[in-house]
Amino acid sequence: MNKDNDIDQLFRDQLSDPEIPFNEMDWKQMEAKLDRQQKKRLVPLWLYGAGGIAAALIISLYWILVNPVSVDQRVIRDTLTNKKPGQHSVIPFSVPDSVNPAADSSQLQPGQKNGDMLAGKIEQPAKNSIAGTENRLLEDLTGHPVWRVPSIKVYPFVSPETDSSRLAEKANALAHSKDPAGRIDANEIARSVKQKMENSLQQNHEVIVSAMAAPDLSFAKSSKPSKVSSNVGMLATYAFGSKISVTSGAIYSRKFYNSGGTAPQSNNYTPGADWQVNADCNVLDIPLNVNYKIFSQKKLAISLNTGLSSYFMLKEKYQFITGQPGPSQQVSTLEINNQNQHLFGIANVSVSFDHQISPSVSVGVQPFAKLPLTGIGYGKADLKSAGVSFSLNIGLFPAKKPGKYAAVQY
Amino acid sequence: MQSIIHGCIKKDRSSQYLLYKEFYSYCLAICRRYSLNDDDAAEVLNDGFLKVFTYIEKYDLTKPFKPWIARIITNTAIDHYRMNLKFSDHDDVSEHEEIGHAAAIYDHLAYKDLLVLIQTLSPAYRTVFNLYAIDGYSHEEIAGLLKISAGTSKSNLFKARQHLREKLKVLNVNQPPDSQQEKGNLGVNKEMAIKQINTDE
Repeated sequence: MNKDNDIDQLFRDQLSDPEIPFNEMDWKQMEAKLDRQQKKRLVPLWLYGAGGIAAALIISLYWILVNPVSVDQRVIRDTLTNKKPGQHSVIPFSVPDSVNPAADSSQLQPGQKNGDMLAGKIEQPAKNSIAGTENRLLEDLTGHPVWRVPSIKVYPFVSPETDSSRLAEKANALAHSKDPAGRIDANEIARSVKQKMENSLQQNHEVIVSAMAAPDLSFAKSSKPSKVSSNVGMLATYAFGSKISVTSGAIYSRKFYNSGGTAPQSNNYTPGADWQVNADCNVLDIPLNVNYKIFSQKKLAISLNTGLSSYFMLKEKYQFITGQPGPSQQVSTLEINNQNQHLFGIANVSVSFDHQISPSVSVGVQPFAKLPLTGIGYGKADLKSAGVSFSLNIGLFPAKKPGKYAAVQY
Repeated sequence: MQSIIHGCIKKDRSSQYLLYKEFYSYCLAICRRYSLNDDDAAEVLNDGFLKVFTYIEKYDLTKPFKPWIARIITNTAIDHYRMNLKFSDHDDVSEHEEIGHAAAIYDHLAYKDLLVLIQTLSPAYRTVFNLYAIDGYSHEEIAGLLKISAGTSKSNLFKARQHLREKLKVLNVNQPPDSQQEKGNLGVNKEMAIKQINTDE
């Protein structure tokens, strides 16, 4: 035991605190380590940023859902309030009782009952309109305020037993008169108002948030087919006008790709051997794209989009396979985290097709391609991706003063 | 010292340099006796200092700094041991040759000789011997740190001492009898010692 203590004591005394001369080279390596650590810390800041964007979008969605604003009411009201004196014939149709903004002039056929009602009440306003006075706000059977003005459309439904036949004749005459206001065809007016309503619906959203998911195929140089890569993300689009908008956000991607070839004979380690690299990378993609709307009609919009993406390589896993399958085949793996960032290192091109399903909601399909401007990841891969993105888009900030008309229910 | 630590808390590079320089020798000595060679030791040293700089704000200024930094460096060395466990769980001739070349650049003979001896131990023996004999850990603590049983720790310590005694015999054969008792100076002919170690296997 004493012998044990002696040997322990000997080593303790000799090895515990020797004088080792300082080596500046070791400090240089230490500094490089510290620099790398600081660089690594930048990536989580981006992650926090992405998280912040996602949280903001969720809050916005919540705001939209708990404070529904009826765009329909506002458009109708705008139509009424924008009317100038003497322009009574601009609205010679019946605003439908329903809140359906897409209602067209065919809804002017309210059935016999409504026709009777019209026939009974419409005479005086019609006369007034002929006399050039203001239109009157009438009430229908449900007590809701509705603008009623005679038009050719209602003519066939007017009961012959009432004075409305006379009224219809007058209206018909109006349509053929030389008065420009009177000659405007009811259908044409209805169409123009409907167009105006649709335009209002489409253009009022300055900010659109989108949730997207996209499968894609990623390729590097001379690669074989690999597994399908996946992308999910939240994007925000800001419109600068009716045609141009910009989109940014955060997309989390899991990219699978591979690369392979034959090592040259000059290679010291594995001359002439076949090699393959299988990659599995988790990437944070921050795009900044410009969109130009080339087609927009009714519920369909088509845009061309281009821009740049920044890739933040959160995790890169590589499997290096050398040699033919069999006992001589060598497989090694490498995993690195947060080592590579490619600021604006990828070009994006895409075409998007958006279908409006409600005034503030649309769905989109977007074939896209991502082309590298720089080598991506540890292996500086020429990583291209092509796929189709599916998105659900929700328009925000539809009115300057939402809720102002919320009390008016139709 | 306090101002250097405060500077390190603020991530001031010049303060970090001063702290690194101040404790370089002390910490590198720990790393060297836990490592296989100088290169490994330098790697452990810098990994340990990275932890020191990262967690320095958790250091309690009222307590002595040396034990705190020693504990971090020792833990880093153990982490490296665990990481390399599967790759270097044996003691072979090629390692001795490498150590022999590394030993040629040491300045203090006695220190170098004993360092060479401890580095010839297998990582498992070396780590237990370091923790128990030099750093004063108990077998129970070592068992917890290395995820082994206390019995294995005792057994490894026994084998490490046995191995070191055999190597010391080789050194003693090559030194004058009057200097054998002299602590801190084994009076070993360096070239002979290395030669002996290399031909010993």
